[in-house]
Amino acid sequence: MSGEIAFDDVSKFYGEVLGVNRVTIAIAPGITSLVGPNGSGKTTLMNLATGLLRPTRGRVRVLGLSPHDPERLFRLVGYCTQFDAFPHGMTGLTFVTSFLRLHGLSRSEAEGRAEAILTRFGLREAMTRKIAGYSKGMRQRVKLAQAIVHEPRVVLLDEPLNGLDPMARAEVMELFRELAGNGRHVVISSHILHEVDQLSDRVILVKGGYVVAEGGIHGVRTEVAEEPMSVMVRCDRPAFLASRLFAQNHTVEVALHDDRKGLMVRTRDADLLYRLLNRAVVEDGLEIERVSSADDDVAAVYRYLIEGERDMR
Amino acid sequence: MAVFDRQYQPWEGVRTTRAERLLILPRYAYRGLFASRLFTGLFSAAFLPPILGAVYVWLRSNLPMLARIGLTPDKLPVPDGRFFLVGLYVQLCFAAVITLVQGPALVSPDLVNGSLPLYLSRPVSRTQYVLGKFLVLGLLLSAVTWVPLTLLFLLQGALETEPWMAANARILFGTVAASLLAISVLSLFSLALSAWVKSKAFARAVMAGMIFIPTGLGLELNRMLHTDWGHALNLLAVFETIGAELLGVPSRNGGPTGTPDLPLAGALLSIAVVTSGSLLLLNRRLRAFEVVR
Repeated sequence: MSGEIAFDDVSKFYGEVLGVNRVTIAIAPGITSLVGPNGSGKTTLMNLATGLLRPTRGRVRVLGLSPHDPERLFRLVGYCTQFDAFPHGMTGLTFVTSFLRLHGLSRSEAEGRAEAILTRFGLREAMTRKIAGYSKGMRQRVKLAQAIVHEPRVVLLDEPLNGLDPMARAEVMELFRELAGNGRHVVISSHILHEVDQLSDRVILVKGGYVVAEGGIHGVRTEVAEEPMSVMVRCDRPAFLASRLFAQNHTVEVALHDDRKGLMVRTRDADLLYRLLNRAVVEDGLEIERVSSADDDVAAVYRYLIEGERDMR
Repeated sequence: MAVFDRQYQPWEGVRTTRAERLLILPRYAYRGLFASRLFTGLFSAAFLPPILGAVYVWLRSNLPMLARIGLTPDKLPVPDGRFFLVGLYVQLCFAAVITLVQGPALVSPDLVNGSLPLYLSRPVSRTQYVLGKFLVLGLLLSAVTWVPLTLLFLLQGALETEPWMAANARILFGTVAASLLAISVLSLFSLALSAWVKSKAFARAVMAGMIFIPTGLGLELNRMLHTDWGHALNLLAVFETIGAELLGVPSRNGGPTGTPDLPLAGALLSIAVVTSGSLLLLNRRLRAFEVVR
């Protein structure tokens, strides 16, 4: 069995409307975030991976299985859609139990597992109440519970952090880490960029139906060569460092901090900058207090690649 | 990157069979069904005609009782194919009303609530989903059609002194086959309407309209064109024609409805059109996500 979720030249058109176009990606185990604006094709990619949509062209394989074989696929896959969609009149417990029974578990086994997962998601008291009376956060937790209760190897979560309060969000993020740490594929679509940044092993940036970048966040940021990387350096002699930096071809801009205890560098090659800093410390006795990247994160990559904003400073 | 310890424990226990899993969908649908008094009353009323039939069958063979009410067995005809055809027709009328009440509520709530992706992201295909919903009506309609009629047949056979059962096996076959055909067509038709029209009330109205309006239209066509093919638009007449054929009872010159002089080919054509139309509609509408073109 193949160990990845593979899209091979996949396109999906809704009539004349483009869903996604010529997508070729392979998603390895760990946490992968799909990032992009509304309508960019994130949900379409998830629906293609779960067989809820058929590609117009190309081929999708999930751990080597066709998404159009639900009998085998959904033993391995759990899906949490972004929509608050529940069958009418069900309680949290009957909802999770009944859908678990569709996986082939006996009544007692299904009820036991449903109770355990709902308890884990903090819904023990509310599990016998109708879902219609739940708050948004509770509904979101029920949806997450049903997606992972059958212990899938692949977990696809469409906007899973929506509606959760900060405490629940932190708990759920910890759960995602635990799921991924156990070797699962956890694919998350999210707009909450700083949490994507904290969570993800890799990101896939989608815009207008096209994958514009994929990989580790630092790797993607490095690839965005046309946008110089901003690095903040706090040190004892910023003016001296600035003079060294101006002699380098990769330096685009240097701005001293108002307190004269640091500077902001924009460089086309961060690795060369870091080497220069090392030399300055060793050869010139420069005392560096802190070096931090100001735009080596998902938010920056999103701005450069998705929004196209260039005024970073 | 995360460390992949492969510690997760996928469930490796014994799974229930596919058929058993298929019954999960109807099982949860039945929960809310009998909460409605109207439906419970209607469903109970559907057993009245078979009970009356059973009383008739029992009375025919109970000579002391007949004597007490001043009747002789020769005044009460032996239940034959026509007797069961009338029974079938009456029960199919109940089946049609039950379908009208319950059918539109099967799929449309899932489409309105957007819960179809939830069902279809399980080990359940679209076909299995339809089959599961189909079973909701299938089991209900079976309970009011071929099941009571079969019991009635067995009662008649048990009370008859001659080898009545063997001689009339075609009645049993015809009743069951015609019932199953009618159940399939009615269920598919209502599921398709339920998938097409998302409002339950509107779907009921459309279904009632699609049963009664074509019936009237068919009668008018018969009158204008001097034909009997107009009955092909009347689903109950279609079922009766096929039932009569299967039971070996000529429906001409006075079938239970007094109408069906419909050629068998017309009835079969009607069934084929309704079934294929319903399947096409279901295939088009039952998708996890609505594709706007």
